[in-house]
Amino acid sequence: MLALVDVHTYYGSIRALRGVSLTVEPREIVTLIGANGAGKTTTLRTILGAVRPRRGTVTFNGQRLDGLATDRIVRLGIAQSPEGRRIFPRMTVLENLEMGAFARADRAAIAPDLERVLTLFPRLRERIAQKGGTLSGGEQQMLAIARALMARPSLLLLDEPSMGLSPILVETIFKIVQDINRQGTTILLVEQNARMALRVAHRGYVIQTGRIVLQDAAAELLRSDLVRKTYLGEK
Amino acid sequence: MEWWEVLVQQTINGLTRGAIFALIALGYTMVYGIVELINFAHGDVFMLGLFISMAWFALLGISGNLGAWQLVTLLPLVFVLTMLSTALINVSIDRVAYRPLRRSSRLAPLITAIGVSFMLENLALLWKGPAPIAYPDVFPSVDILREWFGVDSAIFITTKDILVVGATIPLMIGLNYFVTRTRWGKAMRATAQDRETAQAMGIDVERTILLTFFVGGALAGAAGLIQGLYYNIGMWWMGYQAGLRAFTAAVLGGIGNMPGAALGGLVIGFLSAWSDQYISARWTNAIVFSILILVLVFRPQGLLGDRTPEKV
Amino acid sequence: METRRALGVVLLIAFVLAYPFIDRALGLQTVHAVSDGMIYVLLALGLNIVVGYAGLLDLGYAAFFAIGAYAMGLLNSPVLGSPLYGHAWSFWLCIWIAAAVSAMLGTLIGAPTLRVRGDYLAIITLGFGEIIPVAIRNLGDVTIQIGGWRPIERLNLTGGENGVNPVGRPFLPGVPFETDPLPWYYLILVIGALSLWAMSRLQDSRLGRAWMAIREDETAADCTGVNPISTKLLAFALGASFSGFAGSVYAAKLQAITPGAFEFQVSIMLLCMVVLGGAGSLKGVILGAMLITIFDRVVLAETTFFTRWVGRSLGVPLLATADLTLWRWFFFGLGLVLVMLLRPQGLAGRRVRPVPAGEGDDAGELAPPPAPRVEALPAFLRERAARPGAAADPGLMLDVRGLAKQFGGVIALNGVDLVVPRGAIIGLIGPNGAGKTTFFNVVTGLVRPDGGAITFEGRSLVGLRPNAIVTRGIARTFQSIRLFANMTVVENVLVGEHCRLRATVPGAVIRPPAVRAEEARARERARALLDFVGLGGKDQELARNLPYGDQRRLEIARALATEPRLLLLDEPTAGMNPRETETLTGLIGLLRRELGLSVLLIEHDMQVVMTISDRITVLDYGTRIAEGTPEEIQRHPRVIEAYLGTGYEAEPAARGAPR
Repeated sequence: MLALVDVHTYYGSIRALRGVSLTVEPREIVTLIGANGAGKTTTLRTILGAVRPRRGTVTFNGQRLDGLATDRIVRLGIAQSPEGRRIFPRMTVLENLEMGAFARADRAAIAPDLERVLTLFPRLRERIAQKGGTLSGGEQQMLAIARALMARPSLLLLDEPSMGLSPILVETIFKIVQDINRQGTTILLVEQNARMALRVAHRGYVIQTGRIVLQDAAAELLRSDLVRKTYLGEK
Repeated sequence: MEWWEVLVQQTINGLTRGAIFALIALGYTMVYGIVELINFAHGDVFMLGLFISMAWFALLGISGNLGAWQLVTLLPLVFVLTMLSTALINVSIDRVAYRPLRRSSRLAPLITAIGVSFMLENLALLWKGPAPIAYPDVFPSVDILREWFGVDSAIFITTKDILVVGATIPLMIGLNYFVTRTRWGKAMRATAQDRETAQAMGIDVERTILLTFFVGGALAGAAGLIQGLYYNIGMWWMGYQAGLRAFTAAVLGGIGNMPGAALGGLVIGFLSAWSDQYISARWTNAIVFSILILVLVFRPQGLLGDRTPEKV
Repeated sequence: METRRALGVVLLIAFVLAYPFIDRALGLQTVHAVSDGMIYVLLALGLNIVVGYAGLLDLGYAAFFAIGAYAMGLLNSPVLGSPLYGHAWSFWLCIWIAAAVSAMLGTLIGAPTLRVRGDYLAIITLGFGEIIPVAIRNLGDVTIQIGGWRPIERLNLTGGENGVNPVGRPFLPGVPFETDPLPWYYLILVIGALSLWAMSRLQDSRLGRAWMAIREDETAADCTGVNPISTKLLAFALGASFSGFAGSVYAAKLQAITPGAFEFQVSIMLLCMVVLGGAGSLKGVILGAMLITIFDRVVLAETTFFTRWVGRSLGVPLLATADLTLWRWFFFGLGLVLVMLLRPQGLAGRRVRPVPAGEGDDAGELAPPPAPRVEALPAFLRERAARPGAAADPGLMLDVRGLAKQFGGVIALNGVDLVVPRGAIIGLIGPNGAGKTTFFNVVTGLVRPDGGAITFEGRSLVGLRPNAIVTRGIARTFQSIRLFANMTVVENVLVGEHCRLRATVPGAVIRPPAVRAEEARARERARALLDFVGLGGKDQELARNLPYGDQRRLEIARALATEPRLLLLDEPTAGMNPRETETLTGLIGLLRRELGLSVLLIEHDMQVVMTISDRITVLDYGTRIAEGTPEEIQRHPRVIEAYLGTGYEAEPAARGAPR
């Protein structure tokens, strides 16, 4: 469904991605893990068109994404829950969700999707009229994911959903991630928390200083000691 | 006049001034909220609104007091025409002068905005001449207290005061409806709060910005028309002073905050009326600008705004 | 080339000196107008200091003009009974007083703007620009009435709407300063030339570099030892003082001043001159000022004649009665817009080249940067390192205890302890959002802590400004490089030396031998530092045009120029390729070995941190969760948990599972 081939992305003259290649097959959960500054968010930004790769291609269902504007890419069926949640602080939960559905052409189907999303996240239903900025970290994360789901995407990009959350909340979020996937959404999960990510994913890529250094079935990566060594700088 | 009669009168004056300031301030605050630009030319759009509305009246052959029937049909028509005109002017300014500088520092578009302001003022000067212009006495002025209620008071409330309030309130209600209940209005707010994420939602940011300039310009045009109807006079330089006072109002309320702009407009309206009366009209400008400076230095987020910290 | 330029300059000077006679010979009668124009040029140059050098957008400069003119007017006029009026030396004394008064008021007006960001600063100056003429107008007739009591009645402080008239003229024996324009022309020329000389001296001085640094990046300048408060105030004060000179001559020449001459439009016309010419460039501003004056006084009038002639010839009444001088503000406005859109650096400003594409990175991999050589270590750094510090406990450089900081409801630092012993390299690591950069920001004074103690060489740092902390001996680099992009490489390093130099404003202008020696020494040191980090020969390159690895090294050179004893490095290897990383770690090691420099570094590249650090502190959500040697940290369960997730190490480990 999604394929990055030899992507090099620069910020000015800094090379942030040095030949990243990865694929995401339909109905998979693929996780991209790595330490801070390794290039995880840059990869997502490249996919979404916030930055343009200088070399390499990004294809989605056969269509080239690199070079397209973000709002075009989003209309093709990709949605994101950004790093740091980035919900609209002075808009209500409902309004945030409505913004998630902004680009949809099938406006009649929005109401049932709203219902579905609120069933998935009952806490959001409780707080539907509250302003986004007043929600707790966990609730904001749920809102960010729910908002992305409102676009009824075929591919959902999750950027560090565990950041700033207590372990219990992280478990809850990741369970929901699995539910969403079972309901048919393909997911690319970017995480620093390697263990949780590898437990829910089917496959995993480990990125370090802009390069993919490990890739395997998630279960394999989970068992191996290599991930820890990569993270903590052991040779 | 008794002291309390003076106070009431000046408060009514303040209200009418404040309503006009509020409409102009809303334009400033909306644009700043979404692109972080002080649209220095906005006051001049207000001034052009006054003169353009005059032109529309002339085009429609209206010069004397409007009858009741005409008030209900022609006046709203002129409102719409004027607002459309100024909205288009504001949008054009953004397209030509501000959009190319979207990624520059905050200072470059400010300098450009000053340039545009001067151009507009000079055009008005050439169009209408240097002297103040009489605005057609279109709206009938009736002393309400005396003629409708038979009250003999030194306080002077007219149908024009009703006009100001009656025109401003629906506009604000309409604006509020637009930003809280329509898709594009919400998109505007979202873009102002987090541009990159709004883009990631599929919102066309440039179009949203255009919409903001459109709405802001329309409000300034309405303010110009109301000003003309109320004061029956227009000057090519009035945009500068009104613009700065309205900007003070926007900053006072909290730049980027729409209820704040409305509130700020009222406050500055009252303040300027009271200052004119109790201190001296000669000093009012200095007082208003002192407030501007004090707010920017000591409480830049205004009365209702949120602090936006600078990231290191 | 040189002789051609010198010849051109000589010819220009000759022309300027001879102009009144040329004018008389040709019967042009323009000398008065030219003299007036020169006054505006002088004003524009003063504005250039504020806008061009220091980067502060001043929209109310006409207020300083008014202050200068009124200071001269009021001091040197019989209208308010000034005792200074009527003497031979009146003008010559009052012009200096006017400049001083302008400078003082410049400081007063600048003070509220210090902590305010750029566009708000502009509006504040605009506000003052409006308030001062209003005050001048209205203070001509001051009456204070409280109830029935009138303590002050019709007091005339400023001449009010009518202004001040007459104003005393300058007196030189044998030279009549009356209606003959010649003496005025040369007087203004002399003042202008002296001002120009002073300004160019200032531009190329310790203060001038400080201004440019503030303009480029105020925070980075603060963290490099430049005091933004005093620097900005000096810009306002000095910029205003030149308008004091200009205003004085204007008042004396015109013999009368009224508040109407100092409106907002004057401020904008001066801004046009600076912007068109190129903010920061003396030649540019003079050129811009001349062009605008010529346009205003000559071009518009001539074009009107021409247009009317065309109109009459073609029988088009619209053209025949056209008056293009009414269009002047339209053209000024249009000029501002066009310059900003098409050539924002102005006619003569520094050409801003776009940052080159990233091929530099590949090139770096082919030709590795030169490794720092011990012999190239500048001598002055060794001397500085050898000097004993003021440490009570010579073992600890930096001692942080219980540091706490909250932003709203978010706890960024939760009672963090950290020590950096002398000559040690300490690593500070932690997952995203752990509080590492906040820690740096608190230690370097950018952010005030909510609680805790920070002691450096025995003295507390809490409450000190960043530039004061630099003077104490701590230097830092930034996660995203914060160089002064439009300054040259060597200028960047010289800014680093700012806090170790002593030149004052008079010193910068007059340049006594001591100052010249200090500047020479500073440049020598800068060159030695650049050589050392491997940037030798790139002195004159603009910082923004350097490839990424060079920029990082320049940042370190700049930090070293402040003669630190403790270096705080924030992700120094971010974005570097392996070769550059190796060179950098070698550099850090060398600095520690040879200079005994202590280093605290934030890093994400774990291999770097583990290799180079003596000890490591780990933060997670603002709390210190571990401290120890690299080996200890790599096996510390809480660290593993923080980075990889809960219970990772408890997973059944397939020991030695191959990949």
